[in-house]
Amino acid sequence: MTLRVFVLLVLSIVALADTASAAVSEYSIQLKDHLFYPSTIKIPAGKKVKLVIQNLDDTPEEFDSFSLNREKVLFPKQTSFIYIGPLKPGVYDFFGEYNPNTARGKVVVLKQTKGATHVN
Amino acid sequence: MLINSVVLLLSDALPIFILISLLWVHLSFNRIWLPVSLIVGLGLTVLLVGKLNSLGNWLEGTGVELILFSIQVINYFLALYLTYQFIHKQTDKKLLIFSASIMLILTIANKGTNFVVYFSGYFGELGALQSMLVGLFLGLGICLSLMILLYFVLTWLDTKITSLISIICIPIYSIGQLTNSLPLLVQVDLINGSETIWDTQNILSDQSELGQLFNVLFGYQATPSFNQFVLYISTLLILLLMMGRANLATFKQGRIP
Repeated sequence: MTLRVFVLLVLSIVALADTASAAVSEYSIQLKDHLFYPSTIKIPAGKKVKLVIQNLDDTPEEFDSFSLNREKVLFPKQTSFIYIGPLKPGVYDFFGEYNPNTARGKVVVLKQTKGATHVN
Repeated sequence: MLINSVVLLLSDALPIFILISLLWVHLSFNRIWLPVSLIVGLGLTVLLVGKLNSLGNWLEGTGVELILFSIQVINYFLALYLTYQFIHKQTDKKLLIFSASIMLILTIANKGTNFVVYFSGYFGELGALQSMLVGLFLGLGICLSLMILLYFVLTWLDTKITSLISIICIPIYSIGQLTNSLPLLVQVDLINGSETIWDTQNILSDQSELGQLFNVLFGYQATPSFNQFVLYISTLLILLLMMGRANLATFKQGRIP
């Protein structure tokens, strides 16, 4: 019985796997002197997007967001990516966990399509 | 930098200290496994941090997320095994110690990497080392206090009510950790995201002290996604089924002369 439930669980996770990787818009962010450029990203509601983050500093940083439920270490002089969305219209803050006073930014989700859902 | 070091240490080290407390309640008969696991865990963390950048480039940039999620899956099954053995009152103590040690080592490697990356990246900056060390000791002090408090609460519950409470805390903890790590797969597009099923930020925020403690203890999330909810319920169901089976086995064993 336990095995059956486990198999069902694995199948459910597999079913969630993104097989149809539709074209996803990319948004670039740079981290320089512990500041995000641009600090405001505007994305459409109801769409999955890819944030490409380039850490130009000599120190590591961690991209963190409670509202987006994202956490990613950004190594010095490296480029990383994070997928977010589809999201409901609104403002979603993000920050650098190692320099939370300076490295701050927000994702502004603009209303564009109907039936958008808040995702994390 | 001082406050930031404390906050970082609390968020990363608290799950390790809570796990030590949960395991020590049942495995205090052996004094060796804990220091050995701590040393091996720290060694593995340093090793992992050294390779983290190259691991991150694995599988089109999904390597780190896959490794961290896999650690939580392994820990969940180790927690199930420990729970079964504690209920079934198994006497194979070596295997119990081994399972608990692996669980702790993997947790240290998982949670410790973030702080080691921070510490190694910034300790060279002017005046940072002193603040970081003070923050480190303050954070460790808070974590140790919570660990000891939880240990005494659980041992008190063991003697006054039932040992089942302290036993079930181990898999509940690992279910929470596993559920928390699911967004890692979403952020690298390995699985699709799903909509948030409730929002209790106004009642108990994820960022509050209590919210963070509940998050570590049983995986509290103010805005969980549908995926996380399904995973939490499914893994909880597996635990309940396994506990029922363990109870049945113990009952049958008790009836055989």
